[in-house]
Amino acid sequence: MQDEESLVRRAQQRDQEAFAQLYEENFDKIYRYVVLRIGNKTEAEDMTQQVFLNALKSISSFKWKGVPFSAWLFRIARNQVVDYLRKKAKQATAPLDESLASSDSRPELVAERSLDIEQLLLATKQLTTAQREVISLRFAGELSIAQVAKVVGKSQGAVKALQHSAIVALRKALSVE
Amino acid sequence: MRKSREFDTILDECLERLLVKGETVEQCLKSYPEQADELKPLLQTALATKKASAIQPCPEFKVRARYQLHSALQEMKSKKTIGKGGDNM
Repeated sequence: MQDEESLVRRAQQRDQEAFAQLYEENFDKIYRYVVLRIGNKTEAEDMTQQVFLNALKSISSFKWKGVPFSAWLFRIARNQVVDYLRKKAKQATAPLDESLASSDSRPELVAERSLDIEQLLLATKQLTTAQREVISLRFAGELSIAQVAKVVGKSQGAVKALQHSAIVALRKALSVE
Repeated sequence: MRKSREFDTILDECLERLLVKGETVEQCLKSYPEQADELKPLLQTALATKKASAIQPCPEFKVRARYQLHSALQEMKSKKTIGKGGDNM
Protein backbone atom coordinates (compact mmCIF):
# COMPACT_ATOMS: atom_id res chain seq x y z
CA MET A 1 0.00 0.00 0.00
CA GLN A 2 2.91 2.33 0.82
CA ASP A 3 4.30 1.76 -2.67
CA GLU A 4 0.98 2.56 -4.25
CA GLU A 5 0.69 5.71 -2.18
CA SER A 6 4.04 7.02 -3.38
CA LEU A 7 3.19 6.00 -6.94
CA VAL A 8 -0.06 7.96 -6.77
CA ARG A 9 1.74 11.00 -5.32
CA ARG A 10 4.25 10.87 -8.18
CA ALA A 11 1.42 10.56 -10.70
CA GLN A 12 -0.27 13.59 -9.12
CA GLN A 13 2.93 15.51 -9.77
CA ARG A 14 2.56 14.58 -13.47
CA ASP A 15 5.17 11.82 -13.38
CA GLN A 16 4.30 10.03 -16.63
CA GLU A 17 6.02 6.80 -15.66
CA ALA A 18 4.04 6.60 -12.40
CA PHE A 19 0.69 7.16 -14.11
CA ALA A 20 1.57 4.65 -16.81
CA GLN A 21 2.31 2.09 -14.09
CA LEU A 22 -1.05 2.70 -12.39
CA TYR A 23 -2.66 2.37 -15.80
CA GLU A 24 -1.01 -0.98 -16.54
CA GLU A 25 -1.87 -2.37 -13.10
CA ASN A 26 -5.56 -1.51 -13.34
CA PHE A 27 -6.49 -1.45 -17.01
CA ASP A 28 -7.58 -5.08 -17.43
CA LYS A 29 -9.63 -5.10 -14.22
CA ILE A 30 -11.49 -1.94 -15.18
CA TYR A 31 -12.13 -3.37 -18.65
CA ARG A 32 -13.55 -6.61 -17.21
CA TYR A 33 -15.75 -4.66 -14.82
CA VAL A 34 -17.14 -2.51 -17.63
CA VAL A 35 -17.74 -5.53 -19.89
CA LEU A 36 -19.74 -7.28 -17.18
CA ARG A 37 -21.75 -4.15 -16.40
CA ILE A 38 -22.70 -3.17 -19.95
CA GLY A 39 -22.45 -6.52 -21.75
CA ASN A 40 -20.74 -5.13 -24.83
CA LYS A 41 -17.03 -5.72 -25.39
CA THR A 42 -16.52 -3.10 -28.10
CA GLU A 43 -18.17 -0.29 -26.18
CA ALA A 44 -16.37 -1.43 -23.03
CA GLU A 45 -13.03 -0.77 -24.76
CA ASP A 46 -13.87 2.86 -25.48
CA MET A 47 -15.33 3.36 -22.04
CA THR A 48 -12.30 1.86 -20.30
CA GLN A 49 -10.00 4.19 -22.19
CA GLN A 50 -12.18 7.13 -21.22
CA VAL A 51 -11.99 6.11 -17.54
CA PHE A 52 -8.21 6.51 -17.61
CA LEU A 53 -8.29 9.76 -19.56
CA ASN A 54 -10.75 11.15 -17.00
CA ALA A 55 -8.58 9.82 -14.17
CA LEU A 56 -5.57 11.57 -15.69
CA LYS A 57 -7.46 14.86 -15.80
CA SER A 58 -8.65 14.66 -12.22
CA ILE A 59 -5.88 12.77 -10.44
CA SER A 60 -4.82 15.92 -8.61
CA SER A 61 -8.17 15.82 -6.75
CA PHE A 62 -7.51 12.30 -5.43
CA LYS A 63 -6.94 12.30 -1.68
CA TRP A 64 -5.13 9.39 -0.10
CA LYS A 65 -7.26 7.92 2.70
CA GLY A 66 -5.84 4.42 2.86
CA VAL A 67 -8.31 3.15 0.24
CA PRO A 68 -6.61 1.60 -2.80
CA PHE A 69 -6.30 3.82 -5.85
CA SER A 70 -8.23 1.18 -7.79
CA ALA A 71 -11.36 1.95 -5.70
CA TRP A 72 -11.19 5.54 -6.97
CA LEU A 73 -10.80 4.32 -10.55
CA PHE A 74 -13.77 1.99 -10.12
CA ARG A 75 -15.86 4.91 -8.89
CA ILE A 76 -15.02 6.81 -12.09
CA ALA A 77 -15.85 3.71 -14.14
CA ARG A 78 -19.08 3.21 -12.22
CA ASN A 79 -20.22 6.78 -12.91
CA GLN A 80 -19.52 6.34 -16.60
CA VAL A 81 -21.40 3.04 -16.67
CA VAL A 82 -24.39 4.64 -14.94
CA ASP A 83 -24.42 7.46 -17.53
CA TYR A 84 -24.10 4.95 -20.36
CA LEU A 85 -26.93 2.76 -19.06
CA ARG A 86 -29.14 5.79 -18.51
CA LYS A 87 -28.65 6.89 -22.12
CA LYS A 88 -29.14 3.34 -23.33
CA ALA A 89 -32.40 3.00 -21.40
CA LYS A 90 -33.78 6.00 -23.28
CA GLN A 91 -33.20 4.21 -26.56
CA ALA A 92 -36.04 1.82 -27.44
CA THR A 93 -34.27 -1.49 -27.95
CA ALA A 94 -30.68 -2.11 -27.02
CA PRO A 95 -29.08 -4.32 -29.67
CA LEU A 96 -27.48 -7.45 -28.30
CA ASP A 97 -23.74 -7.72 -28.72
CA GLU A 98 -23.16 -9.90 -31.81
CA SER A 99 -20.97 -12.23 -29.84
CA LEU A 100 -23.76 -12.67 -27.30
CA ALA A 101 -26.38 -13.43 -29.90
CA SER A 102 -24.36 -16.35 -31.18
CA SER A 103 -23.67 -17.90 -27.80
CA ASP A 104 -24.59 -21.47 -27.13
CA SER A 105 -27.18 -21.93 -24.39
CA ARG A 106 -27.65 -25.62 -23.86
CA PRO A 107 -29.46 -26.78 -20.73
CA GLU A 108 -26.51 -27.96 -18.69
CA LEU A 109 -25.50 -27.13 -15.17
CA VAL A 110 -22.71 -24.67 -14.66
CA ALA A 111 -20.70 -27.10 -12.58
CA GLU A 112 -20.60 -29.53 -15.49
CA ARG A 113 -19.14 -27.29 -18.12
CA SER A 114 -16.80 -24.41 -18.46
CA LEU A 115 -18.62 -21.17 -18.76
CA ASP A 116 -17.54 -18.59 -21.33
CA ILE A 117 -17.89 -14.84 -21.17
CA GLU A 118 -20.84 -14.70 -23.58
CA GLN A 119 -22.84 -17.18 -21.52
CA LEU A 120 -21.96 -15.27 -18.38
CA LEU A 121 -23.01 -11.94 -19.90
CA LEU A 122 -26.36 -13.41 -20.91
CA ALA A 123 -26.86 -14.80 -17.42
CA THR A 124 -25.97 -11.50 -15.74
CA LYS A 125 -28.85 -9.88 -17.62
CA GLN A 126 -31.12 -11.78 -15.21
CA LEU A 127 -29.58 -9.96 -12.23
CA THR A 128 -30.78 -6.73 -10.69
CA THR A 129 -28.59 -3.67 -11.26
CA ALA A 130 -27.25 -3.84 -7.70
CA GLN A 131 -26.48 -7.57 -7.95
CA ARG A 132 -24.75 -7.10 -11.28
CA GLU A 133 -22.67 -4.27 -9.89
CA VAL A 134 -21.48 -6.28 -6.90
CA ILE A 135 -20.64 -9.31 -9.06
CA SER A 136 -18.76 -7.12 -11.55
CA LEU A 137 -16.69 -5.43 -8.87
CA ARG A 138 -15.99 -8.65 -6.91
CA PHE A 139 -15.30 -11.08 -9.72
CA ALA A 140 -14.10 -8.96 -12.63
CA GLY A 141 -12.66 -6.06 -10.66
CA GLU A 142 -11.21 -8.33 -7.96
CA LEU A 143 -12.15 -5.92 -5.15
CA SER A 144 -12.65 -7.09 -1.58
CA ILE A 145 -16.05 -6.76 0.12
CA ALA A 146 -14.78 -3.70 2.02
CA GLN A 147 -13.62 -2.05 -1.21
CA VAL A 148 -16.88 -2.86 -3.03
CA ALA A 149 -18.79 -1.34 -0.11
CA LYS A 150 -16.78 1.89 -0.47
CA VAL A 151 -17.33 2.07 -4.23
CA VAL A 152 -21.09 1.47 -4.12
CA GLY A 153 -21.73 3.32 -0.85
CA LYS A 154 -23.36 0.40 0.98
CA SER A 155 -22.49 -1.47 4.18
CA GLN A 156 -20.33 -4.59 3.99
CA GLY A 157 -23.29 -6.62 5.25
CA ALA A 158 -25.48 -5.32 2.44
CA VAL A 159 -22.78 -6.13 -0.12
CA LYS A 160 -22.40 -9.67 1.24
CA ALA A 161 -26.17 -10.18 1.01
CA LEU A 162 -26.19 -8.88 -2.58
CA GLN A 163 -23.26 -11.13 -3.44
CA HIS A 164 -25.16 -14.13 -2.08
CA SER A 165 -28.41 -13.36 -3.91
CA ALA A 166 -26.49 -12.60 -7.12
CA ILE A 167 -24.72 -15.96 -7.10
CA VAL A 168 -28.03 -17.75 -6.44
CA ALA A 169 -29.62 -15.86 -9.35
CA LEU A 170 -26.65 -16.60 -11.62
CA ARG A 171 -26.81 -20.27 -10.72
CA LYS A 172 -30.48 -20.31 -11.60
CA ALA A 173 -29.98 -18.41 -14.87
CA LEU A 174 -27.16 -20.70 -15.96
CA SER A 175 -29.08 -23.85 -15.05
CA VAL A 176 -32.23 -23.05 -16.97
CA GLU A 177 -30.66 -21.66 -20.12
CA MET B 1 -32.24 -12.82 9.47
CA ARG B 2 -29.27 -13.50 11.75
CA LYS B 3 -28.79 -16.96 10.26
CA SER B 4 -28.87 -15.46 6.78
CA ARG B 5 -26.21 -12.89 7.75
CA GLU B 6 -24.04 -15.67 9.15
CA PHE B 7 -24.35 -17.62 5.91
CA ASP B 8 -23.47 -14.52 3.85
CA THR B 9 -20.30 -14.18 5.91
CA ILE B 10 -19.41 -17.88 5.56
CA LEU B 11 -19.99 -17.66 1.82
CA ASP B 12 -17.76 -14.61 1.55
CA GLU B 13 -14.99 -16.24 3.57
CA CYS B 14 -15.14 -19.29 1.30
CA LEU B 15 -15.07 -17.06 -1.79
CA GLU B 16 -11.90 -15.37 -0.54
CA ARG B 17 -10.29 -18.75 0.05
CA LEU B 18 -11.44 -20.09 -3.30
CA LEU B 19 -10.82 -17.10 -5.54
CA VAL B 20 -7.98 -15.25 -3.86
CA LYS B 21 -6.05 -17.88 -1.91
CA GLY B 22 -6.52 -20.64 -4.48
CA GLU B 23 -8.09 -23.24 -2.19
CA THR B 24 -10.47 -25.84 -3.63
CA VAL B 25 -14.25 -26.10 -3.21
CA GLU B 26 -13.72 -29.29 -1.22
CA GLN B 27 -11.34 -27.60 1.23
CA CYS B 28 -13.92 -24.88 1.86
CA LEU B 29 -16.74 -27.39 2.34
CA LYS B 30 -14.70 -29.33 4.89
CA SER B 31 -14.59 -26.23 7.09
CA TYR B 32 -18.39 -25.90 7.02
CA PRO B 33 -19.89 -29.41 6.82
CA GLU B 34 -23.29 -28.23 8.05
CA GLN B 35 -23.58 -25.67 5.26
CA ALA B 36 -21.85 -27.82 2.62
CA ASP B 37 -25.01 -28.68 0.67
CA GLU B 38 -25.96 -25.04 0.31
CA LEU B 39 -22.42 -23.81 -0.23
CA LYS B 40 -21.29 -26.27 -2.90
CA PRO B 41 -23.42 -25.09 -5.86
CA LEU B 42 -22.77 -21.45 -5.00
CA LEU B 43 -19.00 -21.93 -4.84
CA GLN B 44 -19.05 -23.85 -8.13
CA THR B 45 -21.01 -21.04 -9.76
CA ALA B 46 -18.66 -18.44 -8.30
CA LEU B 47 -15.62 -20.30 -9.57
CA ALA B 48 -17.07 -20.61 -13.07
CA THR B 49 -18.04 -16.91 -13.01
CA LYS B 50 -14.55 -15.89 -11.98
CA LYS B 51 -12.93 -17.94 -14.74
CA ALA B 52 -15.35 -16.68 -17.39
CA SER B 53 -14.93 -13.05 -16.38
CA ALA B 54 -11.13 -13.21 -16.66
CA ILE B 55 -11.18 -11.93 -20.23
CA GLN B 56 -8.45 -9.79 -21.72
CA PRO B 57 -8.99 -6.75 -23.91
CA CYS B 58 -7.84 -7.44 -27.48
CA PRO B 59 -4.12 -6.71 -28.05
CA GLU B 60 -4.78 -4.21 -30.88
CA PHE B 61 -7.02 -2.19 -28.61
CA LYS B 62 -4.44 -2.22 -25.82
CA VAL B 63 -1.77 -0.88 -28.17
CA ARG B 64 -4.11 1.85 -29.40
CA ALA B 65 -5.21 2.72 -25.86
CA ARG B 66 -1.61 2.94 -24.62
CA TYR B 67 -0.73 5.25 -27.50
CA GLN B 68 -3.69 7.52 -26.68
CA LEU B 69 -2.71 7.64 -23.04
CA HIS B 70 0.90 8.55 -23.83
CA SER B 71 -0.32 11.27 -26.19
CA ALA B 72 -2.52 12.67 -23.41
CA LEU B 73 0.39 12.52 -20.96
CA GLN B 74 2.68 14.31 -23.43
CA GLU B 75 0.05 16.96 -24.06
CA MET B 76 -0.27 17.59 -20.33
CA LYS B 77 3.48 17.75 -19.95
CA SER B 78 3.84 20.28 -22.75
CA LYS B 79 1.02 22.42 -21.30
CA LYS B 80 2.78 22.33 -17.94
CA THR B 81 6.07 23.38 -19.56
CA ILE B 82 4.39 26.23 -21.42
CA GLY B 83 2.66 27.25 -18.20
CA LYS B 84 5.95 27.32 -16.33
CA GLY B 85 7.54 29.40 -19.09
CA GLY B 86 4.68 31.86 -18.82
CA ASP B 87 5.08 32.09 -15.05
CA ASN B 88 8.72 32.99 -15.39
CA MET B 89 8.07 35.80 -17.79
